[in-house]
Order: sequence, then structure tokens, then C-alpha cells
Amino acid sequence: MTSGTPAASGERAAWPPAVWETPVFRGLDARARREIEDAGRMHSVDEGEVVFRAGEAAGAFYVVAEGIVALSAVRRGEDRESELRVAGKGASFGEEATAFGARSATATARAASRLCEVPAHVFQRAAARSGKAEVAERLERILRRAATRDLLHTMAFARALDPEDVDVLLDAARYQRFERGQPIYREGDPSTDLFLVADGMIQIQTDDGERLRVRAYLGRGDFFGDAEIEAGTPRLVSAVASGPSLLIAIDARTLRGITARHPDLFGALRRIALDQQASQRSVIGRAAENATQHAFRDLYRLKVARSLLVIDLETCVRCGHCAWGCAELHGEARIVRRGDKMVARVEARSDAPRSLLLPNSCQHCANPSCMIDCPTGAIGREPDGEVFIREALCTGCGACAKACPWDNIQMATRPADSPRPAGGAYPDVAVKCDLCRGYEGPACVQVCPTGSIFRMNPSEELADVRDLVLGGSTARAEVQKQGASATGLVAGGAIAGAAIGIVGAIMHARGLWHADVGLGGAAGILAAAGFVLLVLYAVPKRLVHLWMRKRAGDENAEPRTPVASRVRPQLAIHLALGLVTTGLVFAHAPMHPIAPSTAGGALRLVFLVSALVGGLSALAYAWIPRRMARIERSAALPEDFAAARRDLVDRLYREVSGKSDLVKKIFEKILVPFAMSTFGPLALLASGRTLRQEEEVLRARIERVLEGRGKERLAGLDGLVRIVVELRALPAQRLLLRLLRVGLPLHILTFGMAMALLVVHVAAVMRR
Amino acid sequence: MADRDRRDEPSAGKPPAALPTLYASPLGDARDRAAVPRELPRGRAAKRAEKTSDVTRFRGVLTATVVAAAAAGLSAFLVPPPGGHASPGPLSRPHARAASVTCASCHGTAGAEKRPDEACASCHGAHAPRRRPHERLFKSGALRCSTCHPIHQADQGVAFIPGEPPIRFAPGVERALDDAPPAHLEATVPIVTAASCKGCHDPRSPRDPISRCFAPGTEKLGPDKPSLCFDEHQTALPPDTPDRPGSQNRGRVCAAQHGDDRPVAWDAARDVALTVPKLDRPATSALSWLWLGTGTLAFALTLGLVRGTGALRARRRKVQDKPQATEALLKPQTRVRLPQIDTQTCLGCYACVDACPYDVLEVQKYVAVVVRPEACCGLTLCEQRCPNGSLRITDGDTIGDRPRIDDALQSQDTPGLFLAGDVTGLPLIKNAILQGAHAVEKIAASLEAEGPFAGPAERPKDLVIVGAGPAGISAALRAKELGLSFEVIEQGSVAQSIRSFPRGKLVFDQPLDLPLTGKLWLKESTKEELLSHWMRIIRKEELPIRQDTRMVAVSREADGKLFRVTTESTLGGAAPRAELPPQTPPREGGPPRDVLARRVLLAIGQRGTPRRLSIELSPDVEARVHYHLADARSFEGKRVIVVGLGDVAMEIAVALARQPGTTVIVVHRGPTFTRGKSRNIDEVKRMHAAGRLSLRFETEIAALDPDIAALRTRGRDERVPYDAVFVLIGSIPPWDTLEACGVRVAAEAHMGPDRSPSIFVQGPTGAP
Repeated sequence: MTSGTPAASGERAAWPPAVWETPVFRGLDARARREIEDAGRMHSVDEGEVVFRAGEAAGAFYVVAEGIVALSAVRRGEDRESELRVAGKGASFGEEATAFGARSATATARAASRLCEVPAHVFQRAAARSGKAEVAERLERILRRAATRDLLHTMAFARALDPEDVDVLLDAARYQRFERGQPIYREGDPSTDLFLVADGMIQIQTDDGERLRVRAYLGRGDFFGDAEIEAGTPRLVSAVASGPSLLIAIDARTLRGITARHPDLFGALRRIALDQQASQRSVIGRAAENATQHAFRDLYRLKVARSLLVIDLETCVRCGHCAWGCAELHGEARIVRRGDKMVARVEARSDAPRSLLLPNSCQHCANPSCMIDCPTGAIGREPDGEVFIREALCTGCGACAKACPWDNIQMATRPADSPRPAGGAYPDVAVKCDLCRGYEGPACVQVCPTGSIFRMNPSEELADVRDLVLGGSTARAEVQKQGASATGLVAGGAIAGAAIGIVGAIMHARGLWHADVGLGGAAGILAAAGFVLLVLYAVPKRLVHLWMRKRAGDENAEPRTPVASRVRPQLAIHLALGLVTTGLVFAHAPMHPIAPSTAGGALRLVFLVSALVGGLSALAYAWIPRRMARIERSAALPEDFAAARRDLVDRLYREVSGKSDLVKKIFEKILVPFAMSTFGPLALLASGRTLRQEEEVLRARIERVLEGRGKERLAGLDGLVRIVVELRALPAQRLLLRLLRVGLPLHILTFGMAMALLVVHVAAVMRR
Repeated sequence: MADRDRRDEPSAGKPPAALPTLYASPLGDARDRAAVPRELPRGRAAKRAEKTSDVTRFRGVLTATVVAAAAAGLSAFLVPPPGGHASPGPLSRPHARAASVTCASCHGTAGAEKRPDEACASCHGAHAPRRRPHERLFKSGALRCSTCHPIHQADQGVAFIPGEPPIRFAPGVERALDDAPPAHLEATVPIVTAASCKGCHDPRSPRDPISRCFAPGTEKLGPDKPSLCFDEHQTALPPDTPDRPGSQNRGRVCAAQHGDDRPVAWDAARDVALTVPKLDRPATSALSWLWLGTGTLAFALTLGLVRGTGALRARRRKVQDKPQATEALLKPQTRVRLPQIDTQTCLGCYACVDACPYDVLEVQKYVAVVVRPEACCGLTLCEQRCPNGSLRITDGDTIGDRPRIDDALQSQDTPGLFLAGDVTGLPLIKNAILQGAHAVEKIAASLEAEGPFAGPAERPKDLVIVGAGPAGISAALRAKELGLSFEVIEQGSVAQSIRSFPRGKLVFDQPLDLPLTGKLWLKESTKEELLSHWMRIIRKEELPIRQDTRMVAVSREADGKLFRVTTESTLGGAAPRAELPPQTPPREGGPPRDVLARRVLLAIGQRGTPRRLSIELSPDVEARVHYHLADARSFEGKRVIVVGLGDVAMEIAVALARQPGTTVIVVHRGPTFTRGKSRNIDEVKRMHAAGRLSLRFETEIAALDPDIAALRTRGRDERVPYDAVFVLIGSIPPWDTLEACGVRVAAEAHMGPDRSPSIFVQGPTGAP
């Protein structure tokens, strides 16, 4: 689907009537046509241009309105591409989108052509609604059979089979679709089928109510459920779809029939499975050792995410400027700083695993459930993977918001001037991140003052996920040393400022410099210039839409290059400049002798307060986030703390009911005082322990009291310890957050007053 | 992973080796559970965009800062320090009093600029220091007049006027020493402070020669301590050179300073300086604080104003945006109301399906369909959620069969008997709450009109409330508020209708306005949340509720004024009509007894009592028969028979079958599945296929002996051992109870012997 240049970005150009004569469209009613036309697009391609390549994600099929398109693929056993078929005017191609998620062939225009792109899910919906369900089903059956044959051919074990056996398998194959979280089978179910994963991802797991143990992650082309069939036992484990999945089920009898002819088949199956297991274990074993909040908890999410928004909690100063910038640009914040925390290593940024927050913001899935669930096809996808909402088609029904497993779409009141579908008021509209589609890069990333928020493709940039998805360890990317120049700049500013200040103070004490003449006066003028430059920092920071550059030309032209924070260097300059200006202020008017109460004296006073608050905030920015990342289970907004505490307390009392007397005693004597102690949070902060370390400390304390007695009656204590430690950490977290956030308003206020007094001061001095 | 559980070990005799754990995730915390792949619950509302504190944090800060800056600047401009903002500070007494001294005298004019530190000599003549080192410095220009006499800052001294007390002065301040003897000579003695010497000397060191000039005891004054050495410019001896240059034409002033009695003046000045070593500056620095304080105050006020008006506007908008359905209803609709769907425009977006609390709607082939019209409550949640108006609620036939009540909710057949809640035919918790409170108000008014009870019998209750559901609790709260004596009778446990509500999620868009406790805002809360709120309120208000007590009949006493409410316990197998299983321990309330009351409020809901098996049960069998399931885990490893195949029965059967070691037999009278959600049916079929529960169609329980049940399938008997029987075959509507109380429904003629709930009231049992 790459590099297809759309004829009109307006997308609403009417389709030629001949298109509707295509076999797949026959029988559709007017409404279905309108829906397809609304959601689809018209593309113009030049001769030789590639419409899509084999292996790319497939979400749409095409009808040739004009021209000719050739489909080619590398056939198994060959090393050159050969032409499979040619689609002329009125023919369709790329139908695999209706069955599987990926292209099986490459489509190239033979001549300048005009193509109608039809989103597969919109077509399926429209066909089913206009009474063509049977036709659509038959079409799908045929397509699936072909696609399955291809899939079987790619699988190691099927290569050994005769063509007849493959046909037997194809005849026996049943297609089953599973939604995210839906079990395929549970422990103890009878073993009736072998499953091939045609699309999606399956998790083999067991669950004892307290812990979920994942045994294997399976993807496209993998198979499972063979071992129990061979042994003739019920299922030993559960299989759960971690994302929408299409499975091919082959019943046990067929399988046994084939194994009768190929006695070593199960052995081969087993070997493949074991190899895969071993490689997955080697990847996960070293990564998930000490982190429960790991990428593997929801591997599917990271696998399908094309552009995942991530906040590095160890540098994030919780200012929320990302969300603010988004709201400023789009009216509603499409990023909410709540979400799952994850500990993982991003290769390009650090050597060690870091605490990362996955905030509620669209991750641009390869296989977006929101797009599939949208009844009007209002959700579309760019060739380079950006998923976006067409407001003109959005009815505000909320289906996408409910379909997103990670709550990344929200419903908002539609702005008065925004486009809307015909025939209704449609007061609501779905909003989600579209990576600031019209701009050069996403605003949230560009406005982050510390460069903590970034977009990444986890299956490429997250070492663990990539190793798991691609199998085995791969080459590491260079860790980019970022931040060195910024630190240097601030240090330079500090040295320069101190030097100027000290020299000035000495010269004043010697009576050599005076505030109104010579170098002392010059220092004043420079300090005034510094004031102006310092206040200029606020302009790009706050007026985001002034500098957000629109994407050049045609919005589909180029895949965008990743952007870095623009505000971060500005903050470094601001800090350095602030330090130099403070020095200049001292050189202009040192503290002693105390100046009388004039605008100048008040100016110096309020500026120094402002500088102090700013400096302390900068220190807080540098030190607090790392401390905070140690003691938070997930990043919390200040307004969430009250509810979090209530939840924890409720949970604590719920958990303790039904526990043994010994646990209740421990709860009463140790856990409750531990959780509610006034200085506990401060002690936690002072010790610098992580939540996990604190849990260990508490467990050791309990151990000391028990001296090894009553071990068998301690069931459920671990859960209580976790809650209690979190309860203790909550006020500490709150305190740190407050320290991070309190400085800025004060800094702004004092600096504002300093600017006003500067005006008065300058005016008075000029008049004299 | 170190903690391999038992499933990790290859089970003996079973060839397939179980897979080792790759990754374990704790599930104790809801956040953990949310992060692992899970099924999305249906029936949730789409998330609305919210303005987090990230976005609103700086709302109004810019405006407030601008206002603060303006206020600070303006106040500095309007309340300037004496001498204006450019003033270097006030002059001390001699200069301030000399009419000839202007700014220009020292600083020159714009045309002819002067160095202030060189200007002294033009009036005073050259006053070279007498000490050699000082003189050297003075000649080199490093020491100037202003070094020792910093005019605007610390130029101070003592003035003597004959006949008047000596005057100690400093810049901008002077003080007459009234206690001291009046002076008898005219002189002005300048005092140099340690601050002036600090550039070269160390005034703190006792070794520095200057230490001899400071009086002991003044150390704590620091740089402000006065030097008592006055012989810098002339010796204490009589002048050797009477004609000092420039002194001739200076007239009286200079003559007074350089007379023979100068040392006398020095002595006097020394006394004064010791009495008043330091003069505090006039409180002009308070002006700085005034300006900055004004600014800060303006900031706080503006911020409050901006945020306050913002909040006000938001609230007003909220009220404007949500005008529909805020009113709770008092009386039920008179017509059947059902949703009607325009299949041409319906999007199939699930908005209505998810809005409906009773699962009336379903989407089939991308179009919404009414699948359970009998369950429709006739309210308009679905209509409100439909994005394009395809779904409309339309009025149908008139409903006639309702208890006849007047506007006070009093039965028209039995005055003094009131009804509230579902039993009146009006669903939804919100309405029940309103009705309960309303009825009690009317009851209180009628009791008031009747006057206090004067009868021979024991003092009756003012009111008996039958049923502790939403209406009953609301009524009890209002009764407590109005000071009535009352009692609540509940056949099961509090709010059992909510407890047994089939869906976890309740839909609320409006607050529940409870008496006494005020508004209860529950947006989209689960039934557990609602229940825990409820229990908290009951506990806090100490409502007298007798649980497990069933009202059998209400009869009017002979005098016609009192009601006798006959009750029985629902606990214990011995009770002839025990309707609830003894799963819950006996609760407070004591043995059942008859209650005398002046008014009765029936808030008995629609659930009625569970339908029972048609066979006779002996008391010890009765203890094994259950009519609802509280916790499936308590039946782990038991042999259970489930009677019935409705949704409730299927859900309970599945939940039981999931318990390890539990064997479940589902007994159903019909030949196949007849009703229920397809999801439940699929799950039961799957479990049946998996051998985890067995299904017996066309089967009834013929007899129940302790431990052995006789199942009759098409005439054939089978004896099955069992531990528990769940009878889930619906419930008997409360009509008999109503009739026993003397309530008639409106259209008597319509009612046959087999009255189904759907003709009586629109809506199912248990309203959200």
C-alpha cells in the first residue's frame, strides 16, 4: 500500500459507475455503495508504480477503475518474482485483506491507472447489510482456502506432506475467529483440535487466580494443541487470544489420519515447538527476571503497536505539558497521562531498563480494532501506518472508543465548525491521536521540556520485544548520548554567572563599580536584556501552534522522520541564561549595602526570589523523577490520589477478610501501623528503596517477629504486604509530585512582577 | 522462574511435557488484571474526553500573572518612595537641611556631569585624611570622601544645637535624645560605620588597629557599628593651622566645626553614639513589600476569579447539555413503550445495545434488533445514546394491570397502605428512591393530620416498611429524617434485588438523590460499588432493618386504625415456607412476630419469591436446596444439581463447573435450549462438550432424599448422589402477597390464574 499517490486528497471524488459493475460489488444497494464510496478512496498510479508489496499489512482491496495492474510474487522454490495474474479495468485485486492481515503478492501498475481502494471491513459490513451475506461468505471461503494453502506452504512441517495430505488438511480446516481475551480452550477441556494461527496472537497460559503464568506466545504460522491430542489427554493449559485472531482448526481425527501416514509428524511438530520455546525462554528469562511490569504482560499490545507513545518516568517531570500542548493544538487532549507502567530497555536511549509509562494515546496498531468496528468507515489508515479519524464521517457512536482495548479513544463534543456527516446533528465526535497528521511531528514529543516523551515502534526499538518477535538476539543500536550538551550549557551558565556575580560584588565593595555608571551600569543593561530573553522562553513553550510546522506539500508524500523535543534545548538555554542573569544582577546591584526601597530594590528582591524558585525547580526536575519512578506502581495525576487511596484501603480490608487469625494479627499489629504511620512515607523517601525492596524489608520485619513460626498459616500475606507498601508509598508520591509542580506558578508570578518593576525601574532611571 | 507450580511438573503417565512458565503476572490488583489481555466487557459506555489537571493546571495563570505584574508596577508607580524610584536614598540631616544642596550639587546636570564622590570638596574644601596610609590612598584616588561617608546609605552623625538636646541622625531619619543634657555648643559630628572600613580593614579582628575605634558591646551590630575615632581629619589637639584652605569664606558653619572646642563635641558625640549606636532606617523597605504584596494579591484574586467563572460556566453548560431525563418519575407510564429501529439508517454501532440495562437489544447482521421486548423498561437510555436517531421509543398499548394508587402512592383500595418502587410498575432505582421518599412524606403528613395515637394497646409503630430495596431504604432514610418510629422488614438481605442484578455494570447518568445523605453520584458504577455505598449508609444511619423476615399478610385491626403485619422467619428448614436458603447466618431482629403499625409501605419490588420445586422437601433436604449463588468457590469439589436453563441458571452452572472438582448436572424440563443469551448457551454447550457439566433435557427432579436425588427423564428414573441443588426456575411474582394485603390491580378482569409479570408491569425484575 505504499507510495500510492491519491488523486485527490479530498477523497470524496465520485467513483466512476463502471466500478460498481465489478463482480464483488454486484447486488449492493445504493446505501452500501454510498458507504463504500464514503469510506474508500480513489488513487492514481503511474506506470510501474507499486500499489502494495507482499508482506505488508492489508486492510483494503482494490478495484481497477481504469488501467491495468499486475500481481506478482515469489513462488515457493523459486528465487525470482513471477506474475500471478493481471487485473484489468473492472477487476479487483488484493482481496486477501478480507481474510488475513498481510499481502501475499506485490501489485504493480502496468499502465497509468486509477484505482478504487475499498476498506475490507467496510465492504464486509455493507455486503452483509444489503442481503449479500451469502455471496460475501462464499467469496471469503474461497479467499481463505487459497490463503491457507499459502500459509501451510510456509510452515515447516507441511512441507513434508504430500499435496493430497495438504488437500485433506484444507478440507478439514475450520476457521474460527477469536476476540482479544477470548479463550480458545481452557485447562481440562477435551482435546479435539489442532490449531494453526492464521492471524493474530495466542497466549498459552495457566491461571491459578492469583498469578497468570504464560507458557508460550504464538504468532502467525505457529500451531498449538498437538501435544494433548497425541497423548489423548484433556487440555493441560489454556489458550487465550491476546488479540483478535483467526485460527484454523483441524480436528483430531484428520490429524490422526495424516499421522498414520507420516508417523514422525508429531515428533517433528514437537521439535519445532520446543525450539521455539527455548528461544522465547532465553529472551524472556533474562528480561523478566525482576520486573513484573514488563513488556511481556501484554506482548500483543507491543507487537501491534506501530507508533507507541512512551514516557520515560525516570526523567519525566510530570508537568503535563504534553497533554497541554495537545489540547492547545487539537482542542481536546488526545493523550491522558494515565496508563500501564512497564519496565523495559529502549535501545536507542539507555543501557539499563527504565520505567516507562504507556499513556492513554493511540498507538497506531497494525491491526486496529477501532477501524474494524467503525460502522461508517470513518477511521482510516495512512500508508505509513497512522490511524486517523475522518470527522466528516464520524457519527460519534462510540463504537471505536469501546473497541480500543487500551481506552485510547475518547468521545468529545464536536466543535461547531468541524465537518460532520449529513443528516443529523451528531453532537459528539471521537478523538484520538493522529500523530499530528497535518504537521511535521507530534506536538507532545516536540513540547516536552525534558525530552522524556517519545514515539517508538516497540517491535523494532524495544530489545526484548524485537528479540521475541524476530526470534533470537539481534544487533543492538547505538545508545545515543543525549543531554550532554544541555548539561554542559547549564554548567557553563552557572560558572559564568558565578564569575560575573563574584567579580561584581568585589568591585562594588571596593567602590570601583557603581550601579549607574561604567561596568556596573552595563551589567544592569545586560541583565535587563537577560530578563527579556528569559521571558521569551515562555513564548514557544506556550504558543505551540505558532511554531508547529505544517507538513510540506502533499500529506502522503513522505514518511515522516522522527522528531525530537524542541523545548528541551530551549529549557537548557533558559537555565543557563537565568544563571548568567543572576550573576549580572549581582554585578549591577550587590546585596550590600542594602538598596533603599525603590523599584530597583524591589526588582532585585523579586528577581532573586524568582531565580531561587526556578533554580530549586530545576534541581527538583533533575532529582525527583528518578526517586518517584521507584515508588510508583503507575504514574498518577494529582487528582487521582484520593481515589487511589480509597481503592487501596477498600482492597486491604477486602483482602484481609477470610484470612487466618495469624495473618489478621499481623495485619493489626504490623501492617496497619506500617501503612498509616505519619513519617513512614518520609522514611521511604529517605531510604530510597523501591516498592519491591520495601516489601522485602517489611517481610523481613514480619519474619523477625514470627521467628519462623506459623509458616503454614501465612497464606495471602504477600498480597496484603503489597497493598500496605503501596499505601505507604502513596503520600510520598504525592509529596514528590507536589514538589515538582509547585515551583512553576510561583516562578511565573514572581518573574511577571519582576518584569513590571523592571519597566518602572528603567523608566525612573531614564528620566533622571 | 524459580517458583514453578505443580503444573510445571510433567504429570505422571502423561507423555506431553507441560510447558515451563515464561512469564508470570500477579493478578491481585485490578490494574494488573487490566494490563493482561482480557475480554472487553460489553455494556460499557464510551470514554468521554476529560480535562485532566495537566491541561487545566495553568488555566488563568497567564492572565493572573499579567494582572499581578500590572498591579505591582502600578502600585510602585502610584506609591513611589520619597524622592522617586531613581533616588539613591534619602539624605541625612545636614545635607537635607541645606537649601543649597540639590541633586545637581553632587551629580551635576545633564550638560555638566560630576562625579558625586569628587563633588564634596567643592563645598567642604579638601579634607585630606590625616593618617598616612589613608592619605596615600586618598591621593591615589582609591579612597574618596564617599568611601567613609556613603551619602545616601550610611552617612550619619550627631548634631548639637545650643540649648537643645543632641540629635542623632542618619539618612532619612533623626532622633533627639531628650534625656541627654542639652548641648551648649553648636557642632555636627559625622560618624563613620564599620561598613565603610570593611574594604581594607577587618573590623571584627581585635588585632586590626581599627578595632580600637569601636566601643566594646557594639560587636553585634556588625557593619553598622559606629567608629568612635573622630580624628581622621584633625587632631584632638588645638589646630596648628588655623587658616585652613577654603575655611575663610565658609562662614559660620565651618567655623563651628573647626573651633577649639571640637574635641568637646567629639566627646559629646561619643556619648550619644554609645547611647544610640544605630539608627534604624525609616521603614521605607516596607514599600517593596507593599508593591509585591499587591501583585501577589492581585494574582490570587484574578486566578480565583478566572477559575471560578470557568467552573461556573462549565456547570451551566453541563446543565444545558443534559436537560433530558433528569427528572425522576413518580408514577409509571400508562402505555407500553418499545424501541423502534429504522433499519435503513441504523449504523449497527452498539450504542443502544450497550446503553440498555436489560439486554433488550442486540445487533444482528450489523443492525440493531429488539430481541427481548418483554424485558424493555420503557425508558429512553437507548434513544438518547443513538447517534443518528434511528432508534425511537414509541408508545404502544395501554397498560392496565397495575395496583391502583393515588398521587400520594396510597392504595386506592386500602387507605393507609402505601406502595413504592418496582411494585408500582415503575422501574429504575432513581425512581424508586424518589417514590420511597415521597410516600413517607405523605405518610408523615397524614399522621400529622390524624394527631397522636391514643389507644389502649401497646404503642404501635408509625410505619412499617416492607422490603429493603432502593425504595425501602430511601423511605427509611426519609422516615428517620422526619422522626417517625418505623421498622423495615426484609425477606432476604438488604438490596438483594441489586445483588442479584444480572449485569455487573449499572448505567447511571444522574445522581441518586437519597434522603438524609444527599446526592449520591455514581457514574457508571458497578453493582458492587453501589452496594457498598448502600451498606455504608445503612450502617452509618443505623436503620432498623429486620432481615430474613418475610411479611405474610397485612390486616386491618378491628378499630380500623391500625394494621397488623404478620411476619415469619425465612431461616431454618423447619419453617413451612422458607423461601431463602440458610446461607447467611441469622441476623439481628429476633424471632418473627406480628407488628402493629399505623401505616404500611410496601416496597416489595417485583422479584417476588423464588419458584420452588413442586415436590415436598424434608427439613434436612431443604438445607441443601439453594435459590441463589453467593460464591461459587464454596462449592468446590461438591456434586451439584442445577435445575433450570435460563440465563441465571446457565451462568451459575458455568461458574460452578469452573470450580475444580465440582461436578454439575443441569436439569431442564424442555427438550432443548429455549431462551437465554447466545453467549451463555455457547458456553454451556462448550462446557458440556468438554465434559465439565452434564445436561439432562426433558428431565425433572422426582424426589430428593438426603444425598440421593431421583431424576426422571421421559419416565425413566435415575438416582444421583448430590451435595447441593440449585433451583433456578424463576420466581413467583408478588401478586398473592399484594392481594393478601388488600391491594387490587386496576384491571381485575384481565387477570387469569397464570399472571405473567409482563402484563403487570413493563420491565423485568430488579431495576438498575
